[in-house]
Amino acid sequence: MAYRIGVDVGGTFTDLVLLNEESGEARQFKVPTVAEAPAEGVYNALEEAAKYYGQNVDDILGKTTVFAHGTTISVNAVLQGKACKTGLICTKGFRHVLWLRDGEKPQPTFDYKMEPPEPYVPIYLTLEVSERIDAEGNVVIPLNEGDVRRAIRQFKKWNVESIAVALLWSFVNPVHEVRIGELIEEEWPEVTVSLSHNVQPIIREWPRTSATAIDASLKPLLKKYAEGLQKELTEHKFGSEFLMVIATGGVLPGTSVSDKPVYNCLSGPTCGPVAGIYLCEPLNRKDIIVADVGGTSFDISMIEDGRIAYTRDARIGWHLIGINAVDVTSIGAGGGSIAWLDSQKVLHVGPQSAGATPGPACYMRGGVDPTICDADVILGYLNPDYFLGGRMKLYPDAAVRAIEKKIAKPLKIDVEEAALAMYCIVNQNMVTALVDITVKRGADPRDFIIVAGGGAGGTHIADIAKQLGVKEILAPKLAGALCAFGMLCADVKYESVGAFYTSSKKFDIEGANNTLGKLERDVADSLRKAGIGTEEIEFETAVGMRYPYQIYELDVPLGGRRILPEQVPELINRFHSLHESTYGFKIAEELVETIWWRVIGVVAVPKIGLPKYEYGGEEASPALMGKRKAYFDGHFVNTPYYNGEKLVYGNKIGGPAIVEEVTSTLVIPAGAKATVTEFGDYFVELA
Amino acid sequence: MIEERTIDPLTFSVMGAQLDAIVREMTLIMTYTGRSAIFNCCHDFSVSIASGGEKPEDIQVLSMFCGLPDHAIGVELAVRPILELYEKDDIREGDMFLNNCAYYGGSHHADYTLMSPVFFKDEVMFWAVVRCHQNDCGYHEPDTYAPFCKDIYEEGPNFPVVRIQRDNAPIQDWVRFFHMNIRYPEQMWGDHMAQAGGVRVGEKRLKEFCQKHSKEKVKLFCKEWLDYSEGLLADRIRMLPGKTRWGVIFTDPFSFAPNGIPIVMRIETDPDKAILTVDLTDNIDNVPAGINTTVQTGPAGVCAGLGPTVAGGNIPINGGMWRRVKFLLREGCIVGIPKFPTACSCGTSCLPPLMSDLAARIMSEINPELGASGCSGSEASIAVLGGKNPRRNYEPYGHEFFCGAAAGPSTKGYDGWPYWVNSVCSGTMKSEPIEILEMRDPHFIMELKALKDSAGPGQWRGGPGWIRRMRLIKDTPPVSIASLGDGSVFTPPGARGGKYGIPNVQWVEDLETGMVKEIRPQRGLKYLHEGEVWAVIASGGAGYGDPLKRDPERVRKDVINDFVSLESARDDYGVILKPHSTEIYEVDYEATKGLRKELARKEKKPAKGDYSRIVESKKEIDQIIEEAYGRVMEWKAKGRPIEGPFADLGVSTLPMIIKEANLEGWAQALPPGIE
Repeated sequence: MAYRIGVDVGGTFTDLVLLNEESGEARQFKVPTVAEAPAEGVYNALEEAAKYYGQNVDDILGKTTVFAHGTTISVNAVLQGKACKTGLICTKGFRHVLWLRDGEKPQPTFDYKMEPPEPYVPIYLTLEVSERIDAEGNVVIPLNEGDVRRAIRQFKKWNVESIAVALLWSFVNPVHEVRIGELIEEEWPEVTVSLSHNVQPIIREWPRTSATAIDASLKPLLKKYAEGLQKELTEHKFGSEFLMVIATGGVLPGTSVSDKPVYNCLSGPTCGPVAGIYLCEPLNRKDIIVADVGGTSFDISMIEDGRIAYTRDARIGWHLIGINAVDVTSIGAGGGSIAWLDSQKVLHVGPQSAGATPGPACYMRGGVDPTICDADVILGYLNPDYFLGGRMKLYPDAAVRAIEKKIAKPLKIDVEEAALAMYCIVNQNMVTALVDITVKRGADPRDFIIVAGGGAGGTHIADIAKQLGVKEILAPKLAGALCAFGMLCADVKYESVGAFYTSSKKFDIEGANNTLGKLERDVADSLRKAGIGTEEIEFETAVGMRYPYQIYELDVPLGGRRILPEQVPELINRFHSLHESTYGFKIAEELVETIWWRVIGVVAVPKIGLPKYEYGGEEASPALMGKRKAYFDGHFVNTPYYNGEKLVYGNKIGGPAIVEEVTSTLVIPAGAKATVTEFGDYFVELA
Repeated sequence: MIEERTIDPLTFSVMGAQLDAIVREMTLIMTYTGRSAIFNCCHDFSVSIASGGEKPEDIQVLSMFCGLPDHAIGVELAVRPILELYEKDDIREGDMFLNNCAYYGGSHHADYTLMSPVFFKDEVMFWAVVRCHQNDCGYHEPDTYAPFCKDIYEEGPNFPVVRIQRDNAPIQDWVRFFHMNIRYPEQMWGDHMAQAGGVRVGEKRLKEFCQKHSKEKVKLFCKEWLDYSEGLLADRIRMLPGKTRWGVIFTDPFSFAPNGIPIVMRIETDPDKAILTVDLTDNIDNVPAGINTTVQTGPAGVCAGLGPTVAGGNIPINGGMWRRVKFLLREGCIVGIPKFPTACSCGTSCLPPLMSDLAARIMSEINPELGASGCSGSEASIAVLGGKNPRRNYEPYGHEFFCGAAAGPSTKGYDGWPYWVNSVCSGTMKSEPIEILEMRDPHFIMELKALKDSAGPGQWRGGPGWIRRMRLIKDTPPVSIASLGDGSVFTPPGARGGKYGIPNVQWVEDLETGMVKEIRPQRGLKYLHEGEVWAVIASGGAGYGDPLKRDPERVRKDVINDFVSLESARDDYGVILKPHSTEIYEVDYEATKGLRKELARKEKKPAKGDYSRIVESKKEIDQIIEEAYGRVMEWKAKGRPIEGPFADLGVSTLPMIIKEANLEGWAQALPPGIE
């Protein structure tokens, strides 16, 4: 017998999915996260799983072939300013790159009462060295090594734990950064160093500096964590190197990640879309939105034509991580979001959340503010006696009291009406976020299927889909642990990006291929260190292209590992069509420029095969638990509700109906039809 | 009068959020497709949705979401004339109109406002509107502000509402005109298409919006959405004390006004009627320069200062809220209704930032919880550069510089932001990355750094200002630099005891020797040659509240971050710091307490040069003006030049017709009575 394990350490819960490679059976386990010692939470989850199978942790790990792990350790360290004390060396005259950022104050425009964000590395720990390279890579001012040594000694005196080096134009000519690296090695060999041309060799000083600073600050921390976890796993008989989830939605051996730890940011949620692709494959759907609704946040990501959408604007709090990452948009909307009225008695929901403590009013743990969870109870969507499979009781009276007092009475409407308004408003907020992420890429959400993850996903998703005009929803059985499941499907991915400018006027084929070759070698070298041979790697290539003077490049797939002269016109045309489909117009006679080139080395992890359930006919009535009043289409109707554990492949349920899983509830509106798939997921077709 | 809402709470909130989502989408399209830095890097454009209707006054801004306050507040004034100029049957689906004319409700000649009607079931339900600052607007020099135009004929092309698209396609007359009159036509046409694309996306989405809800519901919603914002602002005004305050602020000297121009404002709060009155009539007549404000730019500047301080963040910014602000404007007044053919070419950027600052500071005196300090007026770091680009085969290029600019003001409880541009932009704009700038244009940035002691001290300090030094790359022919410029003499003023930010300065150095060759006048066109360095200092924001009350720990942090010197910590903040082993400094609380006590006694005298003051009567204003003129003389005595292309023409302060106007009233002022 052999297992694969995916563990996602979240803010509140640590999710573990254990897959039996032979039977294909996958099970999810949930334990509380141990914030101060995340590895302990991982171990607790392993124990929970072992207990279920009547074994001990060593037995399980001894038979485990793949251990994939996502963690919030990096994101929390950055967010809470608890990463290592970091010194930053920069070009003289440009000390305030992290302070200026892109200059923008966030919306709303009229909100002046905001403190400007602290730069990630405090200004006093940002030291200048005399040097300058220009846009062409010429050395305009040679490096003053005395400045460098002085800076290093200063950092030493101030007990800095890690050093970041980010000079202007280092990605065109890294000579000064390389030399600074050598000087640090000489002066202070113990300290960890991140050089910007290694971390993120592309144009724009803010993202590059930010990525490098974050990278340096995480290095000692993540190294310690990865080594500690590996040691613990090895002691418990796990025979290989564990895999860490990275921002690109892939995995890398834990020790490689600690070489470029900035890639560990956003570790968990990036596997949502990976799970989405896997789950939609049997349905033959390639345009997918993955929507995960938890207690406090609504996380969305997008897959177009089987490709995950990426962004270069991913942030942790105020800080730009600066690398190409899975675009996971997160807004403050979830089960715990609080409803409130302004002075003109207009209703708003969120972004404040009641969290887990005190939690929604219906938890009866001291929460008095009306939340979305309270509204869901009043509308009959949530079963107060079967929340978390009956492990926690909800109190509808408390929900009524909270909504009545704070919303219904002031608005002179009844409680049900108020609950409905809250439900619809939070859904609209989610719709707006979904429109944002899709239109940014010129996509029409109506062409997509939505995969609904998270505890509260199934309760809201049908209404959201309806408003967007989306026709199909997939509510996976493993909705509650979607990301942990995604980790089991993730490929090993290592990417390298480099700047190279040329244009359609006189396309420099040789230069382009040299760049691609260099990037490919970098990828191969790094993967070799992790014990992966070049023959196992599949290389994906892409070019960042644009019209002159634009500053946002489109990500155009190249198709091969090198470019041939006869392929250039085709590449240019591909850009024009992509520009048209993304932004609605093209200028065919215009010059096209290339800005950066990217090579991703992908090593496929053997595909997992989930077990197929036996066909059990369309009749779902054996799983019918009873009927209760729930709100559909303007009034309360007596709605059948089903026990998800008892439903089998082929069962069909027409809306209005409710399906109760242990960690989630699926609301099927009138006119919609849900079918249990051969894998036990729910495929919902909307009218 | 606000009546009970008829749309149910649910639909109401949802429809409002949908409108904002449409504005966001239009904004995204423009950012991702625009060519010029002011589109894709710096966000010098504003997207809005205005209501439809039969009469001009029916047209009101419903959503402007992330627009620049000075652009988007009152943008409906540019749309309204369409209804008066065209027959109803002549306004068709697929049309697009252009307006950049101050006399037809536009802002200034370089802001092109593109507008399309949104038809639904044969009726115009909305107008999709995008206003963008252009990188070039066909002025006779490569400049888009042109502060020295004597009249409208010197501004370059004015389009007093012109149709540029029919049946969703550009009208060929317009295409020819554009390519013959605008510099760098390829780049600029790319921008123009991006702007038109934004309008068309808005049109499409608004149609879907109408389809989703019914025609009647949409109409009702438009009315109630405006009433909602009005109601929110009325609620805030009701919480204010009933007071009247006067304020004065100065522009830097002009050749025709060598002592600068005072701008006087009276604000009266009436909590019973929930009305704010802003009186701008007590100002000089129109001047023969492009700085005169229009019926849109002046009041919008004031609103930009009032909005954040009175309304705060949780208010949908639309035409409804401004019904609660009553303006007194005078025809022929520099900050009133311009008298044709007065030039308004710089009417967005010269006076409105000062007016916004003044309004915010007056509010801080009416209620100390509100208001903000001043920040720099439009300074010299923002400039339009034009020349030939050796990086691109000596093609002509034009580039408006937004790369480090004046920093933000402070408010009670919060320090200023690093990058604000000015108070009518309020941090909505972005700074261009140095590497993008150097890759594209023949520019080499030698330094861009926050400047020590540049911010106004206060209990809450302004954002620190910037120093930027730049040269041209090898073999670049001379490049023209057209900068705005204010705040070299009269610097950003503090609020409630907060101190001033430093002056903006601009100079040219010899690259080899590093010697300052010339301190250039702030405004106007000049040329930069190879071998020279163009340097600017963009001022920091002013302080809010008494600096002696600033948390000493914050002062310590400012010192170790090099925002504040040890001397300023001691003299301005009364904070004594002593060396500490790892954290560089620690506060000497004992010594600080003593010093602060001592300084507090001294501070009772009015600070010298405290010229931009908020007072209770007109009489005091007159005294301040006198005092300030003395200061300018003193500045001149140091020998720094004040220059400009004009002779001293003198200005009268004769009172003219006084018009009472609010947003509805503005419509009647358009189109103008041309004499």
